[in-house]
Amino acid sequence: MQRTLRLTLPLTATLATALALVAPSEAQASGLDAPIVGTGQSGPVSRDASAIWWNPAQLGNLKKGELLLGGGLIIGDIRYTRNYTGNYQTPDSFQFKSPVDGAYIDAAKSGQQDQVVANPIAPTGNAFFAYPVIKDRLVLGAGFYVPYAAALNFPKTGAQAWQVQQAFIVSSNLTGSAAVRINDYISLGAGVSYVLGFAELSKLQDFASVPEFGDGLSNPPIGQDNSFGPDAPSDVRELEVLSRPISLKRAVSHSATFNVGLAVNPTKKLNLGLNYQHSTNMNYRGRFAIDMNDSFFTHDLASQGVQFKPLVVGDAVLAFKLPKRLTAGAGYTINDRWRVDGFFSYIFYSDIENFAVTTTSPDLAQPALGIGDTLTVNLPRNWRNTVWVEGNVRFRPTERLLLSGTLGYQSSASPDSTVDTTSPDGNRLIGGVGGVLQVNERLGLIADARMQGILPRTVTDSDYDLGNGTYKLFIAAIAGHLQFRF
Amino acid sequence: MIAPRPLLLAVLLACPLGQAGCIVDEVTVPDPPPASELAPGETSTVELRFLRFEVDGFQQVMTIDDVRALPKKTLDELWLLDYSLGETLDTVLAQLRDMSPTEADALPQAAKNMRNLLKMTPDNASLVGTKLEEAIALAGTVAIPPAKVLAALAQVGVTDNLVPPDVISEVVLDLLVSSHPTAQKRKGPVDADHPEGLYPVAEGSIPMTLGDLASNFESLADRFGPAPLDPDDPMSPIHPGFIDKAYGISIVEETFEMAVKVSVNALPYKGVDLGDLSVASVNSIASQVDTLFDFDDPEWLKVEGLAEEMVIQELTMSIRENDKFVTGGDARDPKPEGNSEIWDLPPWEFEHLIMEGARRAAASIAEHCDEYRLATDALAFQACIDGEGWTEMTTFADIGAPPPPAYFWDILVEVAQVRLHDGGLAEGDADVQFTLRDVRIPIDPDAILVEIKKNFEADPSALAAVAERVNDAAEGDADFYFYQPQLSNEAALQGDYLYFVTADDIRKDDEAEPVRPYDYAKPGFFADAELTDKVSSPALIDGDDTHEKIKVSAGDVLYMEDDAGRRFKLAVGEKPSPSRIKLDITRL
Repeated sequence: MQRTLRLTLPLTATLATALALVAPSEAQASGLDAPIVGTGQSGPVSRDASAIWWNPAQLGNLKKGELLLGGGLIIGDIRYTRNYTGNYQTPDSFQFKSPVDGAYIDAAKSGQQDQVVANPIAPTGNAFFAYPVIKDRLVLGAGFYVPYAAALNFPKTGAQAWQVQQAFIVSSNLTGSAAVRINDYISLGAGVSYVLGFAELSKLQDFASVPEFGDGLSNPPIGQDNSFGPDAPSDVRELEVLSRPISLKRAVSHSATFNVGLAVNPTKKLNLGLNYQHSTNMNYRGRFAIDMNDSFFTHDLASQGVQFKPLVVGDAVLAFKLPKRLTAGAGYTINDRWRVDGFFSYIFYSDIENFAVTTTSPDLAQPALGIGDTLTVNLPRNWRNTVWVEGNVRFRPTERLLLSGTLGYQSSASPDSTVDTTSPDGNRLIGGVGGVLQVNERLGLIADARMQGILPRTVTDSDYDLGNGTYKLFIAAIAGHLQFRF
Repeated sequence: MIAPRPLLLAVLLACPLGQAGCIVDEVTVPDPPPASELAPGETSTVELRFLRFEVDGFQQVMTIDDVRALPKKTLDELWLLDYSLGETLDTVLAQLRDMSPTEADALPQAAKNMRNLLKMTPDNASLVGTKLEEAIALAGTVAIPPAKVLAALAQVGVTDNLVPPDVISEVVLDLLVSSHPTAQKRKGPVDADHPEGLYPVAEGSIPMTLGDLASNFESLADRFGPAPLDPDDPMSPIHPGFIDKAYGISIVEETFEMAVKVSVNALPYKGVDLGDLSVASVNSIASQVDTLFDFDDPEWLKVEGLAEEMVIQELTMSIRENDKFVTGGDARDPKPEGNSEIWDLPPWEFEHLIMEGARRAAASIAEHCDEYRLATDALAFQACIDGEGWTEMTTFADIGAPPPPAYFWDILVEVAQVRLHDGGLAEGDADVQFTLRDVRIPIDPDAILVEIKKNFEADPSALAAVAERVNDAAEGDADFYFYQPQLSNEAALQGDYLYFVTADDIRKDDEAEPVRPYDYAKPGFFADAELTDKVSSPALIDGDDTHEKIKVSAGDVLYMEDDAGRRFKLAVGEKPSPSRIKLDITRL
């Protein structure tokens, strides 16, 4: 028996939520990305305080101090229709060796299931500050923002419950940056970030996929050859007795990262930018609780050394690496009214091969089966590197008003083999509109509306039939910012 | 881990804004509702699940410590084999006979005398005080050593035992050991052939249980000490027993392991305790005894660590003598033993043992006459024994009076009785008791294992009881339980069944005793509230024909009574899932 807890992370897709005052800019793009950080006017060639994230070198081009404060709301619509393509035994039976006798196969557990929907709504926010301490030479900045976030709230009894039921994961950066303006053409910048993460999630843990459980059954004293483990086929999965509700709560991560940037202005009209964001090792440390309140686990096999408490609680660590990324941008001012810019990001999501979850509790230990009090489980993700391209057109109808439009694309990080509702990912199309009203020389009001969605993604090659089905994702974000210059 | 204060504050502030940070519910397990007795007319709904965890060739390994942890009742009821005491007695008596003079000096007088009897040969036999004394003395008159006369009569060498050791062992086994009630019957399962649950023990053997192995035979003295021949009769004669003390008798090593393979549904059955409507677990092992073991698998039972010799650290044996001097017989009739009162004594008494030993020794003496002549060649003395052991000594030439004719054993028993009281022991004080230490007796572990396996195969129920104990998953006190037949059964037999518990289903306590009596006045399921129309039967399903059982489906209504005499109505509801059943239970 096994106490391996396989916790999947709700990463990607849905929407990023706010951490209150530090409101993230939320929602989420491919992989783990929040859809926007800063404003709709921000980017690697933009000269505002959000350059702390986008390209710290651009801070060197700031002539005045700037405070950028923003908030908003994110609304998501994530839909999943699971399609069972494998054979499944009747959930209330317990046949542990594949292939299972046909008499136990549940004919009803086949094909498309009821669609599940998550509609998260979350506040957002961020804050950036920059100030030229040496005019035309050195600019310092600080910012608090949320570049990665996800929130999900699916039905607890839906067909996705073994993937995720509820999740809330954010990673926020508190960054200090400095930029040096070398000359009129070149600026260099760098930032160091304290990365604070917070995570909570819940799901049904399928013990059929836990290697220690399979090993415990196959090793003495029970000694029963079985098909359980990470490679368990569908006909031994999702059994009621082995589907145990688990939650990870109040998990907090502390880590650090950095970014460096280069800004080049070959001409007054052409701006180029390059930014490298380093990866971040996240270790969310919190408490887990798992409902083992089934007589199979609490009583019936006690004489064989299998006896859990009805509720097992303990410490848990969720570990994964936020990816490094390289972003190149370019902007061109056509005339006083028109400007175009855009960027290309290459994000090394292949850094994320799995999510490692380590749970520790004396109540997990089942010495008779050789299982200790600490278990580490890897959830394979095998993500791919992604690209993110965006193009913006900006139009200034009056001196005080700036309007912008955005089109973009993000490629999917999740391959068909591992995609599930923890990362309802796909190739995304991005669109957005924004505007800046320059109230006076010091105060600007910025408004943005941004949308992104994936075309319905139908997956048929999910490993072990874990995530086959159709995924739909749509995220809308509205945000407003105040921009003070002094 | 506690979130740092700023972050925690942030999350708390976020919650009212939009549930962010609050959307993940913590997993909790509510306390179960308190179980309570139904009031008359009250209804409660119970859901039961039948789960199969079919383990195949599941090997249950028990070390000697595991075995010792079993309840004494379980250990004592697991009969392994009837262990023949032949070699053991041979060794024990040989050790007594051959012990050094120094050791022998430490023996009680009666034991010394017993030892001398075991060693008695024509050469060392002291006939003083016996009828033979004068007769043998006649030999002196013809210049023949008396030892030769006695040896010739018994047809043994002058230094051979008058009664061979193997004959003594055999007699002790046959009369002393085999007459003990514990060596005659052992407990076993009650069945049609053994309605009292008693089984015969092989002659000359003692029943060996797992408890003996586990406890180093510590109960031997209790079991083979004084015991009434008929435990149910308070006036029954008492067998004095033959083991006064036994300590450190072992035939297993500390590496002992007993591994048994079972194929079984390892999960208990789920039932209902009608007393409080709680879901209870019924141990499922006993009901699967017929299919529990695969005797075709040569490794279905493995025992390792059986020693190649029995080690006896200390053993005190005793043989009681009759309180009076009982003489040998003096007449041929009744044949074939003669008229000695000794034959009427209990078989375990010393006199009877010696008498029988001598009789058996005489069986090997051929009919013959030994003649002894004077120097003048005149016949002076003749000793004859016929084919029935009748011995006659005749003197001629007036050299003295011979003893009256008698059977050989009548003569020898007198010698033995007299010698047993050497050293001034009064009649009745010569109960023989001797203690032996550090005796090692070779045994054949393979033969023992073969015997054990053969016995288990003939009756696996006792071993199943151990398996049941080791896999004890009973909880609560179910009155009935839910069962689904194996899929290998014909379709008509498939379905949901309710089984009324039997006495075997009663949960056992730490001492393997039932926690409650089986007090059901009307076991089974009925169609009417008066319990006059029984609708259940002990039909054979999956090898079980002991439980009252009935197939049920949604809409069925049954009536039953629990062990407290409360009556209930069971209404079968719609099935929640294929392996579940829902019952609305109303107390009447």
